[in-house]
Amino acid sequence: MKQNNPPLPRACISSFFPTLLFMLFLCPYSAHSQQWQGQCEITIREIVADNSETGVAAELEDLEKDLKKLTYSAYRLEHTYSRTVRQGETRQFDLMGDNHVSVTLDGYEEGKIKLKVKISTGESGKRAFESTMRIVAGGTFLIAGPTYMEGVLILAFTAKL
Amino acid sequence: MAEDKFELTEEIIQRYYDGEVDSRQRSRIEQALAADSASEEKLARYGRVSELMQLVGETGEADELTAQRNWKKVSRSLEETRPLLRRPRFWVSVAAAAAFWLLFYSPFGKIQSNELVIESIDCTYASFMLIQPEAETGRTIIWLSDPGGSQQ
Repeated sequence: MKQNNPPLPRACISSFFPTLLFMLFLCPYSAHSQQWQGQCEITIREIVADNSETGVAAELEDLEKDLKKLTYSAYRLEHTYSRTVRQGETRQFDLMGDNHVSVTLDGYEEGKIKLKVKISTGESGKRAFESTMRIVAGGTFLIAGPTYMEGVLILAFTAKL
Repeated sequence: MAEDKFELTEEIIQRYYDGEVDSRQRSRIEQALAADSASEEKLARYGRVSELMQLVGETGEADELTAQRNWKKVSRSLEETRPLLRRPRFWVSVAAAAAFWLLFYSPFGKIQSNELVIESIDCTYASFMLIQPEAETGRTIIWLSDPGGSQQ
């Protein structure tokens, strides 16, 4: 029997064009997972919060909304540490007030960087906190609470691929 | 006397295609068709529809199911002749792709998710508290409570 199918390119073009658009737009999104090369860059911002003054340091502008959930009036950035960590490797950071933090890169799971974070106070580590967590590449989380003078230390962790 | 203005309507094109015009009309229509590519395209469409209707006839099946199937074939063929940007299906596909893109990827990179998944916590501080962000762009805060632990 005679077939009257439309020419192939014409038949395909209406579904091909949106698919192409979709692929193009999805590329930047999927780029994160393609960039995983067994290492990441960890940045820790060491912030002191107390009630001695009022205001949030200009360098902490990106965190201002989050910091304002806490009950202190002043937030100062004291140090910024940045290290590259390979999978399975642990990096140690000595903080103010005899506080220590170690970060271990456990891998990359379900599109997120898997970290083990340990915070201890004093040589004996009488206060310790340890957590395993997963964060999106470029994401930031905060751990607050270790005491320092009249205030507390706040650590802002950012992990980038 | 001024000659009547000749207008090439759908009906005239159809009648021309079906051979229902006289020789005088035929020559006027052919002149008009030569001057108007859109009308020429309409004529071509009649040709394609006619071919498809012939195909329907060749099957020799007069039941309703076959008629429906053949009608779908005719409709599809007519749809194929429509320009791409005038096809509703095309715009539905574009809208779906755009919606998917907006859902999963911000066009301007301003929205950075800070989603944090906590797998385990082991804590010897007096207590701890999780402060979850209200918006996707907010940050999770883990608050460690250490009363009386002031240091110099």
